[in-house]
Amino acid sequence: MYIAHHQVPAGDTAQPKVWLENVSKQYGSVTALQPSDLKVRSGEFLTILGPSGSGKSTVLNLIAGMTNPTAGRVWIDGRDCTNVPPSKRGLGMVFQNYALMPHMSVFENVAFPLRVRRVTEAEIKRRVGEALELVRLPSVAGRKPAELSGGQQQRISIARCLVYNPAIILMDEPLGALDKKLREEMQLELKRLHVELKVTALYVTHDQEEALTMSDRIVLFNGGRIEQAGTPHELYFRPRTLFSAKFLGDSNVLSGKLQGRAQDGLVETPVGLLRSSNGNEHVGDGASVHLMVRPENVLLLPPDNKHEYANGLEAMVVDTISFGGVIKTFARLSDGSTMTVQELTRARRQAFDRGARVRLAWQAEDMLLLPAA
Amino acid sequence: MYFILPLLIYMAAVFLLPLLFVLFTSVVSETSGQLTLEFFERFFTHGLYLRVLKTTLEISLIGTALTLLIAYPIAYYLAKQTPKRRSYLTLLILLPFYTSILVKAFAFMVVLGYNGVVNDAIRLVLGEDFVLPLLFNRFGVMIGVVHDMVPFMVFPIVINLLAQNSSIHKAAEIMGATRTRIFWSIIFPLSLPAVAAGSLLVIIRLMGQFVTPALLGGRTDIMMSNLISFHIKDALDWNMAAAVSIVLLLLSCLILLALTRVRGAQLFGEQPRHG
Repeated sequence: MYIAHHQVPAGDTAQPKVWLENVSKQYGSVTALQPSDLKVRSGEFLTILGPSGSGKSTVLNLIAGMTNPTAGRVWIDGRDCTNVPPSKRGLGMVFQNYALMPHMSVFENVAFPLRVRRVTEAEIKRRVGEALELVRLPSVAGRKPAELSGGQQQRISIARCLVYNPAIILMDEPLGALDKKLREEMQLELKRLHVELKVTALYVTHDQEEALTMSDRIVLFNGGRIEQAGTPHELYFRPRTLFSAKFLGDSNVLSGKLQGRAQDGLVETPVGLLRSSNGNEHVGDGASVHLMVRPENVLLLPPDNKHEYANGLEAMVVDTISFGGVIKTFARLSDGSTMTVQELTRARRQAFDRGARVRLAWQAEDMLLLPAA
Repeated sequence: MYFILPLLIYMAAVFLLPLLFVLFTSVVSETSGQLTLEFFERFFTHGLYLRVLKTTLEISLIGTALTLLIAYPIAYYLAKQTPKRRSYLTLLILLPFYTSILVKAFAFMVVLGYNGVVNDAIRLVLGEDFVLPLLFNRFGVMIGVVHDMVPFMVFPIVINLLAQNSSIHKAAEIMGATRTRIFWSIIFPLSLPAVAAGSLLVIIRLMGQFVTPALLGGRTDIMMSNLISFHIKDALDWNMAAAVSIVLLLLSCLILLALTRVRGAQLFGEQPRHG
């Protein structure tokens, strides 16, 4: 099993807000979550990322108390909450479908957790006002949720969490029901609230872009276990497995066999010898490996170009597609496989026609060595 | 819209025309042939009619309230079950629903009568002198009509409870609300439209109850319907029968109007419709 062991600044010695201590979850004979250890540090924005069925919802439900772990313990704020019901865990949660009470006004929705806590009426008035101010919707208190747009409803449900200062705010794909533009706006809004209020947030999503935009740290799940944990930068630039490399961002993957020692990073592939300057502790000498390079790190050069890059391959342009800001070129290698090159759009960019012979080049440090399955 | 024409003709022939005939009979005397309100006057001045009107309203209102009290917990329980278990349990509710009202009334006589199962059991435990009057009184009527009406109340409420967004309940739980609080401040208020719909179905049906009160009730448990029957079959006074019918019809319409009002306006304020 693979357990997160990222480099951690001094902060890790502090008590984690949430600690899943070797928890696992079985549903009958189905393993939803293999024994996993996960800490959410105080004040961080942690994203649980993964495809559907990867166990990320199970993690959320275990923290919220909607299910009990088969083994292991759940700690919240240093308290063993393994057998504590959801209502006694002091958490906040934002749902994809907002989960606002349709028969209550916006004010009553936000006031609900305070009324449960028997806060005085004057105090409720003040705190609800503050919370609505925070999500920039101070004027809708008297309205019913159905009178608001999706984005506004989600802001209200965030205000409903902020108003009672829960230990941690859990967010279950909260932007999944919004359209693209609004989603990007809300990402920045959530990030702003997190920075301003220093709340601890656990965000669950299958959207890698969302994870890269907002998180302090990402924990990538695959098949009921933690595939890799780290900062967005680490996950994007130093994926440790093929799955991580493919899940975050676009990638070109080649397969081959290590020549000589692993640390030399010399790999024999069907298209020629390639060089990587990145070692991988999970790869032994002479092993079969995958090689990965991001499309934006590959250069498109004329075939006769004498470049100084460690890696260079002959190829033929198959297609070029413009995405506005970027242009993607698909080129066929000598073994028939296709490689993607991504460049920023420039008016005077050298264009290659379909069928043109080109040279693809990239540096050894942009080539990652990944264990083969 | 021509394809509903046959239906319109049919309904006009078997529903509208007879209704107009009843209306006509209630205001035109059979003996003198004159237009008159004397039958309505008789209705609203004679103690007998007013007493029956009061009985009808009492049985309808109390019956509806009791049905709600019994049906809501059943609906709540059903909504909590797995779909498979729910369909079995639903069958248990539908079985009496499909049984003839006469058969049920006679079954209650066997169970509740002087020599019925319940009283036999009581005698066995407390001695020969103890007997509870369970039949031929208001209690018997209530047992009969509530048993009859429960399915009409259960189904709208079950459908509402199942359709409620469960993440709202989950959200409330995570916010710290107890089960009692979640029920009274979320689940129950959100089910009120279904409660209103069920109550409407039940109260309108109870207003026209006829067989059950006649079989299980006492001398004083006479409903408007029984009165209509009496005037047609025994007194041969068609004018009076028509007048009573019209009063009953108007009363039902009034309740229908009131309850639909409550359903629409009240519970949620004006809710804009999306899409």
